[in-house]
Amino acid sequence: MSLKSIFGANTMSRFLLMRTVSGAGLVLVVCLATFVAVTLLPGDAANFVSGRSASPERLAEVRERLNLNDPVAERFFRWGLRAVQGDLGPALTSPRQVSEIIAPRLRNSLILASIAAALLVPLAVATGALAGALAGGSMDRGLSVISLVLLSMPEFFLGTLLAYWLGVKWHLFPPIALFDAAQGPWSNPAVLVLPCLTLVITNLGYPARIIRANVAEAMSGRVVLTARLNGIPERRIVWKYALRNCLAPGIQVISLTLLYLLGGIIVVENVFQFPGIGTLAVEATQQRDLNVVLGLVATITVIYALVMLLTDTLIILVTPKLRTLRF
Amino acid sequence: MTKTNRVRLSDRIFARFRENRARTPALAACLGAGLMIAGPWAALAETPQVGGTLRAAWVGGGAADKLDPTTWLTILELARISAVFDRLTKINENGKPELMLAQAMTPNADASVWTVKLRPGVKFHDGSPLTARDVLYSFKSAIGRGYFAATNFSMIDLQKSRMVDDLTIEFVLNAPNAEFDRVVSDASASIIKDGTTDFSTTAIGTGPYKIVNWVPGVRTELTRNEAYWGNPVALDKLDMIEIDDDNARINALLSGQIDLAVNVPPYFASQLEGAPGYSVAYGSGSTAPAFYMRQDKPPFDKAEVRQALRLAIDRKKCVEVALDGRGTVGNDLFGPSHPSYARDIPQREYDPEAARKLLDKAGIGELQVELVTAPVVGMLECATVFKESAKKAGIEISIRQISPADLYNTQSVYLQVPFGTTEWKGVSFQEMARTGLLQSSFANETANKNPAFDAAFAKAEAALDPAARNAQFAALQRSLWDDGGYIVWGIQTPVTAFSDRVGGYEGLAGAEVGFLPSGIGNLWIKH
Repeated sequence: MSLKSIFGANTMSRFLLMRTVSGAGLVLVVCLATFVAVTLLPGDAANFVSGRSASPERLAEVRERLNLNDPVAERFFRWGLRAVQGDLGPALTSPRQVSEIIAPRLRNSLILASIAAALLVPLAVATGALAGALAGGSMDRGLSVISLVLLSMPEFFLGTLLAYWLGVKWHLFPPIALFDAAQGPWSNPAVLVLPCLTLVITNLGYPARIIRANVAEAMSGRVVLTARLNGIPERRIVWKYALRNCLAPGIQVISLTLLYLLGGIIVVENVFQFPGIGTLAVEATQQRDLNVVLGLVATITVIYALVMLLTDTLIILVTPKLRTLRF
Repeated sequence: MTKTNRVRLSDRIFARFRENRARTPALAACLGAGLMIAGPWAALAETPQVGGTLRAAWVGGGAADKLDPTTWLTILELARISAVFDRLTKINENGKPELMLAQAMTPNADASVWTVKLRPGVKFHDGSPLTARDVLYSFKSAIGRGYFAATNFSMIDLQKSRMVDDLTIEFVLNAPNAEFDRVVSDASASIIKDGTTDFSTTAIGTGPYKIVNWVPGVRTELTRNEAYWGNPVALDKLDMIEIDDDNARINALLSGQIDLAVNVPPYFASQLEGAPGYSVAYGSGSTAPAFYMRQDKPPFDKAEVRQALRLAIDRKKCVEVALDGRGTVGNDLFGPSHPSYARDIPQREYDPEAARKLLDKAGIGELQVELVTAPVVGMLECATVFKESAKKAGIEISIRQISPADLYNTQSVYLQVPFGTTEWKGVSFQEMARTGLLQSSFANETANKNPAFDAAFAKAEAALDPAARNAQFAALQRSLWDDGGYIVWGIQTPVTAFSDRVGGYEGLAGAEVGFLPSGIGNLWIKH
């Protein structure tokens, strides 16, 4: 039975199937790599559960209870089998379930990332379009310099500066995101301001520059020239003709930025002690809580794979040439 | 000694205020042991206010945090234990045991049997009365769990120890121990309810605070125990928040998100001193960052090598650089704030020439060693100073830096590497010895496996006269000073920072004589 007989000649569904399969493969490979990496780190969770004050016998007992003595391959297989059924197992360093630990943290991070993205995307498109439309002018040059500065600013550096100036010095916003992970940031929305600001500022440069380049290119193209000769107002030309032409690269760059945001969030969360997946990842790695680390990695990889799939699908939908392409 | 007199006066004042149930230990506060305040003195003279919430930040252990008083690992856990639980005795500001839940502790003629009379009318947080059964169970459970307590209380013969009546326990010891009233002041000796095995969600003690809400790795919300046998605390609520990152903890304080921060790194202290609205308290204590050399691993199996390294470290510079001058030079011994500390032993100085001679004598000449350390409380900085100062003695130290979280990782570093880093907080020589210097100690960092030492230690513990006992402890410290494996280069000054709204912090921020932070019950806040 061929794929074609299952899905018919529909290129789109075949594309989706292929991407789903490769996405699942990606998740598997990343989890395996993480598993190996964490087991290679010196020490295990038993050390952190019992630590310095435990007798060697007690440590051995804890190790046995956590199944840390079993062969690595067997442990990974067991974990994988459970994980595909949606069970991430118990944490090693606390009596709770991994999913129970990750869920509120993931929600907090997604809230932070969504607000940052909601500000970032329109801002990037607007500044990119503005600079591109006025390519070569002083406004363009100014924006270009600013975006380059923002692009090269590391999150931890800007985060620390903002925490100091806006938090400690001027008392405008809390420099530390002190809130109960389970309750979420809405109990005190002010804690979101500085992490969001850091994420938006440091991530704005790249998409803005790409959009600017594409808009500038489109503005010097024949379509725009014809439109201008037809007397169409300049603003309409930018929005309707130039921007539409860079829809595909725009989606691409925005999705890349969103994925990058997921990485940046780990640093930013640690600067502001924001109880999300970033701070959890650092803590779990330090404590060698393999189950939590794996649960987190699997979750993040699935999100990555989904965003990439969505991006590619959107690009195909908005690009007529690709829509009819045969895979 | 003037310090002792001052403290006694303060104790008397505290006692009187307890009787009156008036919460005005202002004068006592001013007289707090060994405490220097850089900040407005006005706050001290004010009357404590009842009520309010105090938010205090500690360094914790994350999701692995526990409420079990016998399995603690972090300072936060210790602070929480002293808030929620009581012990039979506690170590007071003089470094001496003081009765807590025990009304009397009497040894027999050779201190091999101790009779403990409990304070009547003490209630657990759930309202049940404290009985001898709870006390016996607490020790049985602590020993059974296999943590530090297993060695610390190994002198108790659980089979023979018994409950005499509801409020009397007879502890039969395996060997005479004249310091049993000090031994039971340990955090692991916290009294829990008979039959308690689960500490996963809450903990029930007899302490001044009750747990309202506990989120591991995040916060512990405590409230006043109205039925406390002592003076009820002033605060309505104490919020213990976990902020591990030093910068974040200070930022949270300076932005008003918290009122008090403990474990302030020395280099932040000067920055905080000038900040309006905030004060810094320096305690005097026994927290000793140290390097350990394992005597069972070459080249540290040679006494000359250990002595040469001890002479090759510029301690003064270490304290200056690593502790920002906030501390005192160490003399390779632990527990300087305790009565048992051997004060007569001369201070070891930096002497690279003598070190070189020792190495020549041992026929070693040039020595190359690797020191494993981590960036915590100035250890890495001190290691760097050590590396430089040892060059003059012909010793080449290479530094291997690891993550602070791995410092006590027994699978890779701790007790494995020949030359490593450690830290002992607030303990006396004898407490430290039980945990780390006897053959049975499982934190025996220097591989001190010496039957003669163990025998001499047991003999000292049995000496009934405190002066004679301390003299024997001093002799043991001398032997360690002569050829032991520790390089205790400095004694750190504990730094606590707080907003001017906070009062009654003297006990908490002051002299760190016992392993448990004391005075957590005296905190109050202006509101």
